[in-house]
Amino acid sequence: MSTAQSLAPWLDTYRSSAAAQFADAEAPSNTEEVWRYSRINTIDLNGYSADAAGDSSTDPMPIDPMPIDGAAAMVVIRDGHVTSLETTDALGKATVQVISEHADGEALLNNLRGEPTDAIAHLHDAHVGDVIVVDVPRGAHIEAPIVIDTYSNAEGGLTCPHTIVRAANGSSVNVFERRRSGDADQLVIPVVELDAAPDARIGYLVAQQLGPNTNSFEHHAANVEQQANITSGVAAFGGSYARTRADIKMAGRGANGDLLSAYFGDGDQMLDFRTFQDHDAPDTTSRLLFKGAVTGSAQSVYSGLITVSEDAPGTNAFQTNRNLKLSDGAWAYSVPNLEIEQNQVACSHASTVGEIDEEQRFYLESRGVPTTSAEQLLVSGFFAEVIAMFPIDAVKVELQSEIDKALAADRAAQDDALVKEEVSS
Amino acid sequence: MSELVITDLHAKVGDKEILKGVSLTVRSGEVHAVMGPNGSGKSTLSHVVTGKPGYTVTGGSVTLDGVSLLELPAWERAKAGLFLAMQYPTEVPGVSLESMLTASATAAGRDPDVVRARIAEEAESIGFSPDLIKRPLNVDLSGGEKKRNETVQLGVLDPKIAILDEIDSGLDVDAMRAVTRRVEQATNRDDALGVLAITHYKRLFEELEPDHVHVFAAGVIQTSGGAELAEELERTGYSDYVGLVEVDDTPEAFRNPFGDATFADSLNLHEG
Repeated sequence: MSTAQSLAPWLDTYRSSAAAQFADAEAPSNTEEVWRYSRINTIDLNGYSADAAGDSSTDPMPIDPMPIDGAAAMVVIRDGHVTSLETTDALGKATVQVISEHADGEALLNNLRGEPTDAIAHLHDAHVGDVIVVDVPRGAHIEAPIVIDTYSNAEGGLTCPHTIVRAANGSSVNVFERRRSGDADQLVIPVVELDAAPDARIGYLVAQQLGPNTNSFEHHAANVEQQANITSGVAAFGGSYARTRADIKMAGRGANGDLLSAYFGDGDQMLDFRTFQDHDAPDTTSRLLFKGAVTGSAQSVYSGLITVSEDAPGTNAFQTNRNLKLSDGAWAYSVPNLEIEQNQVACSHASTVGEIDEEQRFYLESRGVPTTSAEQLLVSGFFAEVIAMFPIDAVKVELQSEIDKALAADRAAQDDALVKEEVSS
Repeated sequence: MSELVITDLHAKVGDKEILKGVSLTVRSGEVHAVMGPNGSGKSTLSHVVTGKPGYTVTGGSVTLDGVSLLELPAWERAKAGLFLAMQYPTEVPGVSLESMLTASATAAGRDPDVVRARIAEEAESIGFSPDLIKRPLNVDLSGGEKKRNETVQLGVLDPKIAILDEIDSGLDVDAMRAVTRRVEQATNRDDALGVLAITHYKRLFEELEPDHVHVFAAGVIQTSGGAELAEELERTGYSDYVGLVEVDDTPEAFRNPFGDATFADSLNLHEG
């Protein structure tokens, strides 16, 4: 496996101990609330091998489809292991390291995610690849994004990327991850930990562009200290069953945490989101906006929970999930929840599942815009709001056009199906 | 010379017949006013002719320069040269005036590159703020601003026939003058616009004098005449025509997943 492991014996121990615990752990099941509506029962966690993942050398990794100009650092990770790590002057005093070379590595790993709570977390820990640690020192402001590109493509492979971002007091940083895989049937279990010290700001965005036969379980754990700010986004397009769990904890007074997502599901894929906004300090704010569309026979699940503890008076917490259903066969499920132990709070949650608005479509059509173009404009417009809020400016146009392309492909496929129906009848 | 010919048009919403045999011909350069009491089905006429979903045509025909419109989807009717200025222009979050008109120009085989400049010209001619043009369509615009926005579109799209559905509602005096002057100007040139103006009040005609006035009630045109008919209606009101039939001509509202799409708005839904 990794050549880096000899540098950090603790990591070998960590992995083997986790492997033993995974062997003993019970597989998650649809009967548990957090797995309701998911496809967990169809995925054999024992059916994938990290060794297979390390053996895809015949597959030349595609070039990054859209390089980010002016990135402060660019990390390329293949099958869980770093193949290239370049930094520029824009990185300033911040550092980007593999955890085995990090002085505090052992203390950092899963510090925010915490002890595994299920078999999938054990499996991640047992096969965790080269963990990337981004450290931003006190007062440093890194404007240009740090880019991490993960890719894997081995039949039956298992890869477990892991990213840790630590912004020290009064610092700021933007991190963009591109999560990719090839067409092979594989499993990806990424973990992302975001830690903002007092007055720090972290902008994070992952573009999930996994291959059509990849199942994934991604877990984000974020911690926001006093007067700090984290904006964390997920743009999810790929995968077969692709789940993202995002936890954000407002741990210090005046902390603000925003969770954002744009997702587009087609074919028979399922995009599954579970969010937890945890308010544990006074005068904290969290805003969540997840907007998605499903077409074909795709499915989406959104389930979110806002928790406000006794220690968090003055909390403002918002949770909004909007879904567009673009075909008869698609299905979107949305369930927002609140759990509040404090009276002095302002919380709201709202969720909708709807089709393209007829009145809006007619307005555009009455100006001579063809039906398909009108729908594309409306769906683009639907997503534009949340994409504008994403923290990484350099990829907004790309993400918007990815949605436009997916929609255009879907509409073309529906037109083809109609033509075939007419021909055969 | 263009000609919109509506012949014995019947249409219903659900089981309720709203249009009960409407016949009307509008030619280039003519201004027709359709006046009538609230709930008479005036707006239904504009919706059925332009192809709004929610109505069933049960009889009659509508042609524009000989082309039958009723079989065409709404966008092809627009492409054929028909325009509808709506009574309540729909808010379309996330879509700009420019992107909509660019898509329209592309579909019509017109030069999409001139759309931006044409919007600016039209906006200036009626005193519509350039800042408002950049907003998502009709979102957070006042009633009067929405009507100016419709008029900008009319100018850019340059249709053969325009149906103006209560374009005077929500307009202050200055806006009314700007909008009606722009329309009037379009009716007075070589390739002149034909106008079918649906309205409740005569004040629209101060700048836009009608050649023909039709009184519409109970799903049919009750009587037609010249501009003097509007004067008479102003004096007598619609009392002769109300009570014939009162109908609700608004189709069942569609669910609107975008309607509250601005983040700030959505947050206020369930405050507390």
